[in-house]
Amino acid sequence: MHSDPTKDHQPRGKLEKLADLAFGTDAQIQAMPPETLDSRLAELGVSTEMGWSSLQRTLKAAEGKTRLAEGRARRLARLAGAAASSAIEETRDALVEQIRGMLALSEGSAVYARKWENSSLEDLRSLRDALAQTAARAARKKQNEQKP
Amino acid sequence: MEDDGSSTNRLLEYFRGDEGESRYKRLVVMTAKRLFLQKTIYVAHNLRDPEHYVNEAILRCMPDADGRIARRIDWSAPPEIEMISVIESVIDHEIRPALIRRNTHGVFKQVYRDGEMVSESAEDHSESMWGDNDGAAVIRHSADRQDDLDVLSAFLAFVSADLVVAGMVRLLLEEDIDEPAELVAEKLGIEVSEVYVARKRLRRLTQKFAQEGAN
Repeated sequence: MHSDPTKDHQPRGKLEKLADLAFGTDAQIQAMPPETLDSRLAELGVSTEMGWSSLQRTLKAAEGKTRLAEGRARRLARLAGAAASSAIEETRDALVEQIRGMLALSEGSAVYARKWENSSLEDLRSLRDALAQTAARAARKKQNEQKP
Repeated sequence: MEDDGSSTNRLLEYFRGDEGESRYKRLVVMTAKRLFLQKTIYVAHNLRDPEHYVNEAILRCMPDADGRIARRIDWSAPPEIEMISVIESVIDHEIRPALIRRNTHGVFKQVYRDGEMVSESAEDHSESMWGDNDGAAVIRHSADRQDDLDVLSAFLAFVSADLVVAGMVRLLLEEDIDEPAELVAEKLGIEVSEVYVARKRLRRLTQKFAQEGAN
């Protein structure tokens, strides 16, 4: 299939020079001060008032949507943070409670009872497991002693 | 592509206040120039005001209802350059379905649909330039240069009543001189101030030609 030749038929040469003479080159247009721009638009018979107002309305609406989306994202982030923090606290609380219970049962475990509540979750789990093993060993020992 | 809101914020900043309005006006002038070239090269029935294409292009750079964005501006480069390329693509997209290449020589006719040529035929000179194109692009062409010269000849005829403007256009086309104004004045044997005034008339005539004379 042939490609679309209109892509290659860009106006150029003398016609483009005429357009540059009438409108200015892109570089000249970009460097135009506001008053020159206004007079150029007037000479071309182009009014930008309606287009500019329409653009401002569009941008204002988009700004409103963006602010709403940003607010929603912030609220979600706060909620997610609070939920995650609550999950950690629950786990920590549960572990601490478990360990407290074990310490009450397990004599000789006072060695762990120094600021252990401030340990990391991982350390708390190790402590609980160690206490569990100690308690199990103590229970087995007691059973053996009670055997005739 | 998804937008995180930064594109809208950038556009808001870019088009904020008096400087933003001046930026908008510059885009409108650059767009008017492109429309002039389109109008004189093609018989395009459905061209609209330049602000329409500028606003449409800006909309493409903003998130739609689903938060997707059609065109992301590279703000590290001068944004005007990217903006004007989006505007060009909007013009191209909107006028293409009704595009008929202007040509008084009628060498042959090609019909395009969705960017692909679907028919090609020798063309009778008497066939209407406004032929039934059924939504497809009909392109009648000879060499580009010839088409440009056709348009320029028509433009010279259009401005011939204004001797100074016609002289300025001839000077540009034949001797490639449009600056400085002193040289133009010397070549045309007029006062420099007349050159400045004639340039304003040339702008009005250019727009008038695009609106009336070209179609």
